[in-house]
Amino acid sequence: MKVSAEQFEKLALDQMDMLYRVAHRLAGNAEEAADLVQETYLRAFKSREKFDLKSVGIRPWLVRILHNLHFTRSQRQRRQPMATDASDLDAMPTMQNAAPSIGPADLDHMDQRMAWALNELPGEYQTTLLLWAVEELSYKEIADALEVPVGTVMSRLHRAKQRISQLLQPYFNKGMILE
Amino acid sequence: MAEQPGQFNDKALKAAVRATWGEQRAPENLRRSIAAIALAARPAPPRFRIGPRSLAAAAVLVVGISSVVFQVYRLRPVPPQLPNHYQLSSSLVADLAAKHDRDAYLGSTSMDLAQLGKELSEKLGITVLSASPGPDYHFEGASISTIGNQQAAHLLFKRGSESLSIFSMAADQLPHTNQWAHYDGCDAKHTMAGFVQDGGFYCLTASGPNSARCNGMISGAMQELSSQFPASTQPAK
Repeated sequence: MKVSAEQFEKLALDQMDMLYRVAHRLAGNAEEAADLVQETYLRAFKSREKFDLKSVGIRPWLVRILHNLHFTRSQRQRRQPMATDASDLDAMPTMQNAAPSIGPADLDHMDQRMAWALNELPGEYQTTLLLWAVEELSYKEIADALEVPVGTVMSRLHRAKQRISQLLQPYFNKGMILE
Repeated sequence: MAEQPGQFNDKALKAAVRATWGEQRAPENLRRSIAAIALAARPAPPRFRIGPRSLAAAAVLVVGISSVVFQVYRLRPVPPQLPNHYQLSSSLVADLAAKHDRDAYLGSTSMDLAQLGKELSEKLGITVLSASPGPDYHFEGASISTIGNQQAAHLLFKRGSESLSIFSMAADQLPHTNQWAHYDGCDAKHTMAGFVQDGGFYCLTASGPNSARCNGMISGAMQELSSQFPASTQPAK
């Protein structure tokens, strides 16, 4: 089902926060995430005529554009050697992304530990988890958006859970988030 | 169970993920940029769409207007055409003007114009026009001059500071010698008009301080002189 230009604009703009969240998971920083979202909208509006609401929802369609864009950029960056300034190296913490130094028995800080564990996941796992947990996309929709089979979605979710479990192992005895 | 990785409570995990990432919102500057992109991407409103009916109506209108314009053009008042109307050659104009000015005091001053005309006609072999162009004119004299390559009778009349010559000559040197062929011409000081009749060419040349009056002199004199010719030979008015 084709939509009018006005309908498309409304549908697309309603997904800005969702796209920003996904972009943030993929890019890892706010600046690049904003850039990704902006480029995604540019491409989306340019490809408006190709969008068919019936065959694919607006959310998987937009995420697919964003994901492809990120993938292309990542590949390009990987091919280009990057110079790192000595000042940047000096500024880096010695234990980057280290677990929060909170005692294992401290239940009040479980949310912080979870946040840390989630952010430690690879970008693709974060994205899959985000689309499943926050955006509440079905496995099929996630598969459409990321252009992977449904089985891959399920496996990524499973591995993401496993990884979180490993990261939070020291705190499991408190049984907060486990069955 | 706590020691078995992957045995998450999905509900609890979703809640934890939402709490961690769910509150993230696109920053305001990004919203503004995207709004601008959306605005720029809006299709331009169609300026003018012509449907088949409008097109047909426009075609009918164009045909109608064209038809009216054509009718008006066809029925417009056409300025009267002047057949048999020609321009005197510049050399003839120059000759007529020169003789009009130079012959002013030459030749016979006989007041009997009819007798004078008769004599000049015999000499030249054509009818010589020898009537007064009007009651206000004074006859100054007559002569036989050469105009172009023809001999011509020249009668000069004056009315105050205005002068009027009547030239009579054979029409052979004219390009069009058909009956009542009309010629005219002018230069800075003179106005000329003449006609062909029975092989003769009769030309009036007028001059005066007010060149605008010369046309009036010519037409008035023409009226007066036309009585000299049989009515049947005059052009229809």
